[in-house]
Amino acid sequence: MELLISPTEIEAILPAGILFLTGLVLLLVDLGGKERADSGMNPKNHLVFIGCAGSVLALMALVTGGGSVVTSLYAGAMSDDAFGRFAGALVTLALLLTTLGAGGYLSSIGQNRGEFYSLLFFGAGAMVLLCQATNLVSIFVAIETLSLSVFVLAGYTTDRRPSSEGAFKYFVLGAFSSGFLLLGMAFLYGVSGGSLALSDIAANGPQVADDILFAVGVLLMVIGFAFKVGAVPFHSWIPDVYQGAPVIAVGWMAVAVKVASFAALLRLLVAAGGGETLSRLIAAIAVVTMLLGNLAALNQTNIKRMLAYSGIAHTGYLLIPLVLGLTGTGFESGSSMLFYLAAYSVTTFAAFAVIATLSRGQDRESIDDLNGLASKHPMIAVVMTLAMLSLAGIPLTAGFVGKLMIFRDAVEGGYIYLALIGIISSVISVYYYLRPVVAMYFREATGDQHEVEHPWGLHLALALAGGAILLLGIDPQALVEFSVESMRSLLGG
Amino acid sequence: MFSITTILYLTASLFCIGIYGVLARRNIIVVLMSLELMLNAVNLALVAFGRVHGTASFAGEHSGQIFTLMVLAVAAAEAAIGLSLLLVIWRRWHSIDVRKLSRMSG
Repeated sequence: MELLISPTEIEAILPAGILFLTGLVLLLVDLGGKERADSGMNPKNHLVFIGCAGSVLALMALVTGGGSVVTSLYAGAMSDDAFGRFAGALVTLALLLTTLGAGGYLSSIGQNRGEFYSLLFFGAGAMVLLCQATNLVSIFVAIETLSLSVFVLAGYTTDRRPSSEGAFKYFVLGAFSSGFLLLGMAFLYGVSGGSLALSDIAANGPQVADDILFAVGVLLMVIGFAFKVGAVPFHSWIPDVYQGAPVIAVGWMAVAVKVASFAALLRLLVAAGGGETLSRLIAAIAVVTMLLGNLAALNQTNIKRMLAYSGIAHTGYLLIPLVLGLTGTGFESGSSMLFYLAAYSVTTFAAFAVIATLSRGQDRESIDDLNGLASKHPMIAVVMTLAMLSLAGIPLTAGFVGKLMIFRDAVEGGYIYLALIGIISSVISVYYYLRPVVAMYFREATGDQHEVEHPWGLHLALALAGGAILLLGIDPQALVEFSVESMRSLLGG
Repeated sequence: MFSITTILYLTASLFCIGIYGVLARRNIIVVLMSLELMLNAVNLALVAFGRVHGTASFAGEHSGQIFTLMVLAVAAAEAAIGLSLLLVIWRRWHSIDVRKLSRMSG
């Protein structure tokens, strides 16, 4: 008897399946949990434990399986290659850290409910699928599933005005950009001979490259993705959403949405190409994004807004490998992007998790709230310093290695001006990244400094993230090799 | 009957009406309707392309129509989220005016 689903197909979908199942379990376990959540500080450790077990299982499924590159599973809807598994593992790692931190943070703002965790897990499942998707339908469904879960997470604290406001802005702009993405997909489908698979689009691409519908279709899809990753001029929602949403959810969406969207965008552009014009356009977007993100971050006093603009700037750096790939030098530079995503993930998560540890009742989000933190919580201050140095790209941190790889690729690919602008904007960024550090070490604490009630999860997550920043900064060789290998699996060489 | 070009023009017009509605209207419900209009404009294009390529396509029959079904499901989920956000906003501020909503900036 022929099996309906082959073992390789089951192996490919196993990580996402584990994540979705864990999401369901978390929802069921906390069915009667509302009353308990209202009765004071309740860490609900069992939710955190179930969540951690689920994400560790998914991580193991991602790391162990998929020895060979299998490109056409589920009738071409997804593939099982090292690239998808690498990006999926980054998402799952971010999920593990977020789940660890969520328990203490949520109980300290009195909103510790099961649906937060299950929304995290449903979104993460969709992101892992997005990293593996090779078909327009599966890309669309995955990106919508992750967006819908993140919209709700952004508006999770319904009793706070900025939260609902940010969530609504995010929702409208997110749905708006999905419209563009979908229109682009329809055009690609139309000109590619009635196939929805990326591989067929890649095979047909050269014949229809002059077709205006094809060019417009790719452009519209890039615009749709630019919204998701927050590239200028589609970035306006990011500061408002980051300011309004609960900070642990911000850490999650800043990291995971960007990883998954960039992975899918890279896969799409490798297949569809787009040529010189698109490459010039993305180069322009990258320049404006780097400069505007860093300049706008300079005078922010709210640390969540500052990190939001910093995230925009990092999107600019991450666009450089795409420019290089589209100009015919090949997408080998995509490996720098993968490494940069890994470095950016641990660093950004660490920064947001530090803010989360200071929350009680509400987020402490002004830079002044960090004053004198070093004398009170020296270890947290160390992690925050590491995160800021890594975001700025100071040597011996993960961020430095990532920037080095991207700028080196840019110079080798003949885009010296991109590397120069990147370096100049990194220098500008040092100024605002050092402000929290100065506040922590050289200023006296102004008011009473809070820390969350049950901080063990957050402390563990911070320790892991801080260790990863240092490890990737001092000895990046293993991960660099792994990202090069992953990129090769995508290019089929 | 209609040529594919005619249908694409219709798609483009509907899509642009949707864009206008999202950007220019103040009422949140109208904004949500405009978002749906954008998605449905694309559905029209997908069905049209699906018919043109028909059963001759080499990656499965009726793929455009199947994509449309997926889009419909996603649009329904999106509407559910949008309406529940609307409900939260109405309960708290008794207003569904987009402009009254935007306080944060800078």
